[in-house]
Amino acid sequence: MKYYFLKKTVCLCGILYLALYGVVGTAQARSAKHEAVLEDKIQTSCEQVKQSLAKTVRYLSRYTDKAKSAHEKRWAKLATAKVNCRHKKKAALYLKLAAQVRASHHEKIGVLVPEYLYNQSLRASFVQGVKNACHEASLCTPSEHLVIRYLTDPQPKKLIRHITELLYNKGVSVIIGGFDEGSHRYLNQISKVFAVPVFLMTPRENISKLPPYSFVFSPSEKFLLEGLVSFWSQKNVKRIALLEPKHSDGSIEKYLLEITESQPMTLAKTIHYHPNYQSMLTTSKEILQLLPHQRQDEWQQLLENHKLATEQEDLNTEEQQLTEEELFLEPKFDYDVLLIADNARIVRHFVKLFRYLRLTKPIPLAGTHLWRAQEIIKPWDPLLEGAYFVDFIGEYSQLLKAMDLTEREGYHEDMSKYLVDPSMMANMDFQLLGYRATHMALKVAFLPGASRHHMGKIIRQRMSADSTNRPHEIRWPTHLFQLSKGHLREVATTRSKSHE
Amino acid sequence: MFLTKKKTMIKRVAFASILCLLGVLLIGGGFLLVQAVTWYQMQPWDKQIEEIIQYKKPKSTKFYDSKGQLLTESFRAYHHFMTIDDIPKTLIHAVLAIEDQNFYQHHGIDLQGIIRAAWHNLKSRQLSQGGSTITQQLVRHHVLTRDKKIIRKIKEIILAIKLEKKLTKQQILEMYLNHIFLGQNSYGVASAALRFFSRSVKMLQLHEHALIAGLFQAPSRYNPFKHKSLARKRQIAVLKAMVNQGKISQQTYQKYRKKPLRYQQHISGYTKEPHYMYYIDYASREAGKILGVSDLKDKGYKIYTYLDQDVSRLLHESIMNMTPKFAKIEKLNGLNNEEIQAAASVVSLAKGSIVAMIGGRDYTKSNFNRSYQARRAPGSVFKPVIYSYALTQGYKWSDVFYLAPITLADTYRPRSSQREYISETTLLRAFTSSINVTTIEVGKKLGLHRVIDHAQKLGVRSHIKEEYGSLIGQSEVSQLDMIRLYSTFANQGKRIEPVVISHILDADGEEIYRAPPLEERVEKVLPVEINFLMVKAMSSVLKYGTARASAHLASIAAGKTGTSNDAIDNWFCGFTSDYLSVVWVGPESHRALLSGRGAGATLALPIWQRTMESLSQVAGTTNFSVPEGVKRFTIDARYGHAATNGYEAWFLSHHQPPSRPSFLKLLNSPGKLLRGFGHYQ
Repeated sequence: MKYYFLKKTVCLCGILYLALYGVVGTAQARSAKHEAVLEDKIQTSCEQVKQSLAKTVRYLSRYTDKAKSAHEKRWAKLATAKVNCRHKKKAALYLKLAAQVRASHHEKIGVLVPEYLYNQSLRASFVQGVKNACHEASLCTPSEHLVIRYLTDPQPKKLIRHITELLYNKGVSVIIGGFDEGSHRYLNQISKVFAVPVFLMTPRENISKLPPYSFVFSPSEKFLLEGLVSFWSQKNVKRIALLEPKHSDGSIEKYLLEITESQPMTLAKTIHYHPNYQSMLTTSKEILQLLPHQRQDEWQQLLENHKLATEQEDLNTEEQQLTEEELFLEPKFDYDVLLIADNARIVRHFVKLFRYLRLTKPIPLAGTHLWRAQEIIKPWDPLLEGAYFVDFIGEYSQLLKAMDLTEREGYHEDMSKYLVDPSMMANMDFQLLGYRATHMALKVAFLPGASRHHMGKIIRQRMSADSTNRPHEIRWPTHLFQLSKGHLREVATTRSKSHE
Repeated sequence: MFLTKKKTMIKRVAFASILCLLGVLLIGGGFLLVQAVTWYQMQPWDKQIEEIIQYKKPKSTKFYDSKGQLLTESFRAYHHFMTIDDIPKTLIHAVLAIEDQNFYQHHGIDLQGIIRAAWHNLKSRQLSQGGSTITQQLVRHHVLTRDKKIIRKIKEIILAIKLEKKLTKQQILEMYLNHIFLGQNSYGVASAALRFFSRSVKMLQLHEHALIAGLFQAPSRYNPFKHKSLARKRQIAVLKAMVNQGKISQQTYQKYRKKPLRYQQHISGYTKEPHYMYYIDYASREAGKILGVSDLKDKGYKIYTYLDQDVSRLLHESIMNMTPKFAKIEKLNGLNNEEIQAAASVVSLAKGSIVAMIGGRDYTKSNFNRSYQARRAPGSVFKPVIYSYALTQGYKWSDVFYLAPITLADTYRPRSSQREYISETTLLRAFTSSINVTTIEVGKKLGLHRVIDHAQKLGVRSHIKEEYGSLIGQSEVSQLDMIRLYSTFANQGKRIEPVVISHILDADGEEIYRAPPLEERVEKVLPVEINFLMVKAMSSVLKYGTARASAHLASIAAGKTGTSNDAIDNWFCGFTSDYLSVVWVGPESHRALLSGRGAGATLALPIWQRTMESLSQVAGTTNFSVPEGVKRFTIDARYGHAATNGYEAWFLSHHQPPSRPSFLKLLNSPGKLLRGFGHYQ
C-alpha cells in the first residue's frame, strides 16, 4: 500500500513538474541549477501552472480510481487555486520527487504505436521489427523488456495517460514513438522533464529545437538528397531541374536549395505540377522548351511552315491535320539533370509524355526513394536508360534475411534482389524502423547503473562520433540505384556508423 | 437515088441499133433476171421462216433460296409468254388498230399501207415510214435488221408472204404480241405490263392497254419512264385509232383518254422484296466466278443460294427500324434524305454460309451493294487482329499499359480520349474500351508488317496500308473482309470461306457445281485457346466495354464496335455460337458526322442487337464451348491482378495474371500505404 502511495505520489509530482516546466521553463532542465532557476520562475507563472495542473489532475484521476480517491482532495486543492503560488517549499518538494523519478528506470523499452494512423498490417510490421531487435539482443525478452502500448486516438489526454504509465508504472528507459506531430510535442516535453531518451519515428521540421535526448529516427529526404547531390558533384552536375508535385509539401525544393547552397551547382528550374494530363503535358513542354514563349522565333517559323503544308494539302495518308497544340518544336534539354520527385507511376507517365513530345534519346533523370518499384523497369522504356534514384534501403534480399524474413510473404525469387512485393514495401520500411530504433535503444538500456540522463548522453556521444549524422537525427544509409536495360543496379552506398 | 439509098442506110443502121439495143436490153434483163433468180434461190427463206417459227425465248438464269423457293430470274430480255387466248381483247384491238388495221385481210403485205407510206416518204423526202404489217414487223424482229434499205424491204415482204403461208393469223399475232421488244428490257405485252405497271396484263384497263399498244412502233421514244408526254400522246393516238376503226365508242374514248396512268417500275419478275436483290447480285457475281462466265443472263442456270428469307427479312427490318434515328442524324448533320446508309450481313456458322446480305437501305433507289462493293475504314473492328496476334506472342490480358498520347512516324498522333491519359489500363480494358493509343503501342511492338500478315491470315483480303493508322482501322476494307475475319473468331480459330451458293444446275438440269462441305472450306489460323481468349474478350466488350448497351447478350454473344474518324464509318461485328452478323452504318458521302452523333455503338449495334436477339430466340443459342488449357479469373480492370471485383478474363493455364496488386494499384487505393517518410497515408 505504501509502495503504491509512493508510486502515485511520485507520479503526480512528475506530472506537476512537467506542467510547471513545460509552461515556465525555456531553459534546459537537466540539472539542479536549472531547477533553482525554475523555482524562481514559479511565482511569475503561477496562474498558468494552476491551469495545467487542473488538466493533469483530471487525466490522472481518470487513470486510476485509487489515485483519485487517495489524492483527490490534494489535487483538487492544487487545481482549484487554493495552492499558494508563493509556497516555494511545496514546489521544491515536487521538483525533488520528479528528480528521483528521472533517475530510476527498469531497463525497459516503451513503445507507443498509434492505432489511429496506420493500418493493422503496418503496426504489426513495426512491432515485429521491435520484437525482432529484442530477440536479437541477448539480454532482451519481449515480454519482460518491451512495453508496447497502442494509442487508439490522437487525444492528448490518452497519450499522457500512456506516457505516465510507461514512466511511473513501468519505469521504461527509452520511449519509442512519435509518429505524429501531437505525440512529438508531448514526448519532447517528457524528454525535457525527465531526461528520458525519446526516439521519434517520423521526421521533424526543426530538429535544432529538440530537447537533448529526443532523436529523430526515421529516414530523411534531406539525407537522401545529400547523397544525390554528392553523386552529382562527382558527375560535375551544375544545373538541376526539379519536377515536384503540387500536393507535396515542397520539401524537396527547399532541401535542394539548402544543400546546393554550399555546392558548385544550382537548382536552375523547379516546376510544380498537378498529376493530371494537362498539367503534366505543360510541365513536360516547359522542361523540354517547347512552349511557344520559350522559343518565339522558332515557333513562328514552325507555324508558318505548317500553314504552308496545310494549304498545299499534300499530306500523305499517314499524316493528318495537326492542331496547333499538336505542333512541336524539336525538344531541347538545357539542364544537367532532371529530378522527378514523384513515384514510379508518374515518372513513367512523364517519360511517355517526353516521347510524345518527340524526345528520342534519354536525358539524365534522377529520382527519390519513391521511384522504387518494379514498374520503373517493367515494361522497360529505353528513355529511362541511365536514370538513377536514391533510397535508404539497399538489397531487400539481404535485409529480409537479416530480419529472418526470407520466408515472409512479399518476397519473390523472381523479383530483383532490390525489389519486394509492393504491398510489403511500407511494411518493410516500418519493420526496419522498429528494428533499428529498438536496436539502438537496447544498446543503452542495459548499461549497468545508467540513469536515463546518462543513456541520453551516451546516445548523443555515439551520434556525434559519426560526422555524417546531424544532432538529433540519425542518418540512414543512402543507396544509389541506376536503371539500365530493364534492370536495377546499385551503384553507390553511403552508410552511417550509427547503423553498424 | 442517092437520097433513097441514104434513107435506107439510115433505116438499116437505126434498125440495127434498135436490134442491138434490144439485144443488150434482153441480155441485160436476162442477166438481171438470172441474178435475181439466183439471189432468190440463194436466200435461206425456209431457214429464216423456220427460225421465226421455232423461236424459243432465251432461258433465264434462276436464283433460289435455301429452301428451294424461286427468288428471281436473271435475263437480258424480259420475256413473259402469254397465249393469244389469255391476252385481253382490248389490247389486241389496240395493237391492231395502231399497227395493222388490215391484218386479217392481207397476206403478209398491205399494199394500201405501202402506198400510204410511199406517199408519205415522197412528201417528206426521206424513208421515215415503212407501211409494214405485223407479219413484216415480226419477220424483221426475228431475222432482219432495221436498216432502211430496199433490199431489206424486199426480203421482209417475201418472208412475210412466206410466213403468212406457213402460220395462221392467230399464231402470227400471238408471236407478235409476245416477241416484240417494248422497252425496259421487256419483250411482249405481258412483260411490258409488268415492267411499266407492275401488274399482270389482264389486270390492266383500256387506257393502259393503249399505252402498251403504242410502244410497238418506237419503244424507246414512247417509254413512259423517259418520255412521259410523248407516251401519253401515243396512247391518245391509239385510242383514236380504235375509235376510227369502231373498236371503241366515242364515249369510251372520252372516258379513257382522261384516265391517269400510274406507272410502277417492277424490279424483277419474282422477287417479292427488293432487298433480296443485294444478296442475289452478290450470288450472281460469285456464280460468275465459279462458272467462269461474265454474264449469267439468259443462260438457264438454276442457282441455289443459302439465302434465308426469314433472316434476310429480319435483318432488313432491323435496318428499317433505325430509319427515324438515321433521319434525325441526317437532319442534324445537314445531310440529304437517306444519305446515311447501312449494310449488314448474317452468316450461319453451322454451314459457313452467308444467309442474308443487305447492301443498302433501299435497292430500288440504289443497287450499290455496300456489303461487298464498298471499301470503308473498319475503325476498331480491326483491332481483334492486333490483340489476337499479341496473345499469340505472349501478351496476356492482365498486362498493364500507361495511357498517354503518342507520336509515331514523327507527325502521326493518333487521337484518344484525353480523359484516359495519365492513367493505366490492362490489355483487356484497352480492348473492351477500344483505346487507340494502347492498340497502336502494342501493334508497333509486334511489328506493323507482321500484324498485316496476321490480318491476311485471319481473312482480310483488302490491301492493308503499311501505316500505323492501319492498326486502328484506317485502311479501308470491305464488309466481306470483316465477315471472314470474325468468322474465324466465331469458328474456333478456323478461317471460313463463307459461301452464298449451295449448288448450280445447268440449263439441262445437270449439277455443275456444289459448294464444298464446311470442313473443306476451313483453315486453322489461330490456336483454339487463343481464339477462345479473344471470344471471351469480345464478350467483355458487351459486358463492360463499348457495347454495354447489349450487355444482356454478353453471356451468349461476343463482338466489337468500330468507329472511324468523325464517325464516318460505324461498325459492329459480333456473333453467337450459331450466327455472325456484321453491320456497317455511315454517310454515303464520307462526310464527317457531328461529334457525338454517331458511333458503332449507337448506329450499328442496335441493328446487330435486334437481329441477334431474334435469331437467338429462334436458334436457342448456347454458350461458347471452353477448350482445355484456359482458365478464368477476375482481374482488376486497370492493374491486372487477380481481384474479387473487376473484369472476367480468360488466360492460358500457364500464363496467369499476377496474384497480388501492383504498385500502381496500391498508389491508387485509399488505405493502402506506400513509402513516404512522414506521409505514409
